Amino acid sequence: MSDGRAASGPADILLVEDNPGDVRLTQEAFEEGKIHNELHVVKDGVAALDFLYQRGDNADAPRPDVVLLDLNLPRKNGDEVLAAIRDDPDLERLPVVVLTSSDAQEDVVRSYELQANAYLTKPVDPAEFIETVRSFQEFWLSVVRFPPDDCAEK
Amino acid sequence: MSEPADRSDAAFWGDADDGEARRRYRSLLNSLGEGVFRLDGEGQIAAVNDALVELSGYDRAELHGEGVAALFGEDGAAIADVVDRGGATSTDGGDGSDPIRCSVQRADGTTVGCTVRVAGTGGTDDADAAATVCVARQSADDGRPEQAAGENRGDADRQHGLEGYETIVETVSDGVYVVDQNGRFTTVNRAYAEMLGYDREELVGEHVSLVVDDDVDALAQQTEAAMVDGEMEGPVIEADLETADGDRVTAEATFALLTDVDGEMRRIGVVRDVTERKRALRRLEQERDMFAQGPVVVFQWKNEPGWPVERVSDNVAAVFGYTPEELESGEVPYTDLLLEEERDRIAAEVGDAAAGETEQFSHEPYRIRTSDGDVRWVTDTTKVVRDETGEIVRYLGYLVDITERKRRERELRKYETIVETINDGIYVKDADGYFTMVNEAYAELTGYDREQLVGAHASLVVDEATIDQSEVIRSAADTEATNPTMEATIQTADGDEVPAEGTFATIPAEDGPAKRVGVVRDITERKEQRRRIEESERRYRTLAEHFPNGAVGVFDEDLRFTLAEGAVLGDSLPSADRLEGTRVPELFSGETVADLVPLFRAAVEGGETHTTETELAGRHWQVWATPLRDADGEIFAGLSFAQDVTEQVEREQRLEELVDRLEASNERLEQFAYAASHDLQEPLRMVSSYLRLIEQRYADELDDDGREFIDYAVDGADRMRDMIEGLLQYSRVDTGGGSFEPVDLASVLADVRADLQVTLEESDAEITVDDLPTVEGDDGQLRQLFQNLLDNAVEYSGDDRPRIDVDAEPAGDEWRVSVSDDGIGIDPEDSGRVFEVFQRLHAPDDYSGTGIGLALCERIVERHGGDIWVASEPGEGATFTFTLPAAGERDE
Repeated sequence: MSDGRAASGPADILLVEDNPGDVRLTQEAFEEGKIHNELHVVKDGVAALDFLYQRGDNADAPRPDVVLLDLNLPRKNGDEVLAAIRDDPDLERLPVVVLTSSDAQEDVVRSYELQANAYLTKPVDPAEFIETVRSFQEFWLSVVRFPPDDCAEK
Repeated sequence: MSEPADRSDAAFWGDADDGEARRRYRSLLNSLGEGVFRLDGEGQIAAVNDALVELSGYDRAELHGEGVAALFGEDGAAIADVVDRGGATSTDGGDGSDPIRCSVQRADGTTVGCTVRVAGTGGTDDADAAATVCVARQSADDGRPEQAAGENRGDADRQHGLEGYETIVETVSDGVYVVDQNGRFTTVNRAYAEMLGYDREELVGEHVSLVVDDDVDALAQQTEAAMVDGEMEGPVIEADLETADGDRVTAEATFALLTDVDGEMRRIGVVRDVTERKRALRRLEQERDMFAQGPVVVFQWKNEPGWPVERVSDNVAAVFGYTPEELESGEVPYTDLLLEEERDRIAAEVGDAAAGETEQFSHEPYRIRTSDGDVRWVTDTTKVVRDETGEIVRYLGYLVDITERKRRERELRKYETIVETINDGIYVKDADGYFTMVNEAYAELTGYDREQLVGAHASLVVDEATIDQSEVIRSAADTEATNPTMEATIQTADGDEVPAEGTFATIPAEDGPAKRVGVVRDITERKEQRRRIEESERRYRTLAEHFPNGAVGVFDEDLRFTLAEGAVLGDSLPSADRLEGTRVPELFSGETVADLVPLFRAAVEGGETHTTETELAGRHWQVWATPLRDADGEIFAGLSFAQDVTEQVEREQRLEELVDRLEASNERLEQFAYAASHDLQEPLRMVSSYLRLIEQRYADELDDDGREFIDYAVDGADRMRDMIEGLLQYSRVDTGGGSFEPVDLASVLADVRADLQVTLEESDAEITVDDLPTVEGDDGQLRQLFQNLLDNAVEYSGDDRPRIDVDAEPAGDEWRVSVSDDGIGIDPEDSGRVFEVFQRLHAPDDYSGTGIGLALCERIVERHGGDIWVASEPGEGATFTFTLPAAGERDE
């Protein structure tokens, strides 16, 4: 883990989402919720992994505190991205929240089978979404994020 | 003996002095075969000769001084009587008394029958004491009177008077002669002369060759020589003598030698005529032969336990297998010869006879066992032999072997029994066609009494044509050694007609023309049976011939078809000619044979019925094989049915393919519906989200129109979202459902009411619920079902407070569940449409349904194998009824 991330600065969130509408909605939600964060957006699975492994243009990319992962992605699907994360000893503890467009049972089951830490149904109502993101932030960014790395590595 | 004794006979030994003569007499007396004894004046025995000693078995000394009773027992009284009377003259005027029959009581206790003549009593020459000479002759045969002995009066022997001897010589019936060395008679007694038919004078001086052949004389001389040498004593020779008439007399002679005073050797011969005895013996032999060669076996049994055989005729061996010696030895008691089961009866019959006065009785035929173990039947006529006291001493049995007769009788009885018990009618007719005998079956067949039939003409029961034909058949049977039959009709006594089958034969009669035998059988039943069988066969053959679209075959254990019938033979299957007589493996190709052989074998060997499908000549066949059993349940053949099922198979294949295609298509459609509705959500979410963002962020900047437009857009997007969700659910009913398990509908309904709590409270709905059962189903989907129906009921309740009634009733393996409301109802014309997707009966403004709910209900019920329908009238409310399978273990 990078040293800078231990500080209480803005959280680094990686949003993997190909739909600009959703990206914008998410950005709007984070802004509306006054959430102190740094939202990094990539539009496909390959880009997501490049970001995580700091490959190519992403040499300076920070290690995100949490990944918001859409499952339906171009080039490399969300499933594969999540599987790659869980297979990598360095990344396996990275919190991943799967974003689904419906709360259909199979989408939920599929998320947990992929060892996602949580899933979020993409809400129709922006206000609702903002509320969700806020509660999400409180949980993930204040509780999950803060365990010291050494503690996690014990 | 016609001539009385001449007193000059006293000079029998005329040329000798008294002493010499006495010696000669003594010698002669002892050579005689007859017993001679002399009684003194006291009636006591004074002298006996050798012959009497031998006959009686006593010593001389034992007899001397005894009375005649010592020799003759009680019979002695008769002799003493005659002696007392002074020697009564014989009735025929001959010498001595009449012969007295009496028994000599021998020293060993036995008796010997003999006749005694009292020759003479005390002579005048001896006044001192009376003496009597008696001659006892052993009876040659019981009851045969002895030739009267000659009579001679002689001196009393007490004085050893010569006269006594002369008397004896003249009295005895034996011929006595003396020949000199030259073979010439010097003396002959009267008996000898009479025996040969000469006068004494004619014989004296003659050579013996006058009466005997040279070889007899030679034999006599040889004997004489042997006697001189002491090699022989008292020899007896038998020879024929020639009488004066030229007849031959068989005689037995004994010899003695005397040496005369002048030293000359003389031969004394005592000759007895045995012609009679010989004849008697011959007769006895002939009689014995008559028995021995005849069928009657004569037994003489002692009256002792086991009836030991004393004597038995020689022919016993032919019947019993034992020799007379074996039986007479007593080794085999007669009772042992009887068959075990006969013994008691025979003993009883003998016992009964013995108890009575019976002299003779006959047994019922009984069985004996031969030495070989064979069993034979005999008849036995038994004569009882009693002694003077009436005690039975022995039995004489006359047995005849009737084994063969018995066998014939049995045989005859057997045939009689057969004839009388057989079900076939049997008659015998004479040559003129009149019945002489009928059996019971024939009488029953014709309906007449036997008495009515015997003597009646055959035309009583059959017509002339039948009689004629039977004659033809009969002569064919007689000549050709075959047994042809004919069928004819019998007219019974009741006027009925009975179909019958007859066979005929001729039996030769002992006298007169041969008789005709007929054996007649009632074939009514057989004809009827034959008719039924023919009918049945015709019926089955018709069935088989018309066996639709296939064929029927009968095959044997060798899997060879013995019969084949069917509509398609010679068309899609080989012809019947080709099939019949050919084995299955030779008829079809390898795969077909592999299919059929196990099936056929299982039928004909294992008695099993199976079916299989096989291909033959490009067509599909369903083949069944089943065993054919006879009346006893034994398998005697197999039966096969083959039916062309090509079209059926092809149709099934088409159907299967169709189902597969439909399932695939359905799956694709479901997949499509799911994917479509799923993917439609994304853009719809964009629309909704940004519409709301606009609404939230820019509401203040819009005028009323703008806000109204946004409202419509949001409302449309919402409804579209509902519809998409409905579609998603609808498309997932089959593939997305859970597994079936027992579901308690009461608890499902309770959950649904909880879920719909808000809606129900808002509408103030009143719900009554009957006892609900447990059914087999998908819990989630059933919840959806009730939810939709309750929703629906509340939705379309009209203006009034919704009243909803849920109840259930069993219907076979199912439950019929109804949800009734008192709402606006449905026009019956629309009752089908309500279950179709997106079919709405009302404008969205009035009712907010998506048009998916009832369609979803229908899919859920259908997935559970049930039906759903609605009964309703507008304004009268609606009742939705559906069926669900009852849970496996239904307690009701």
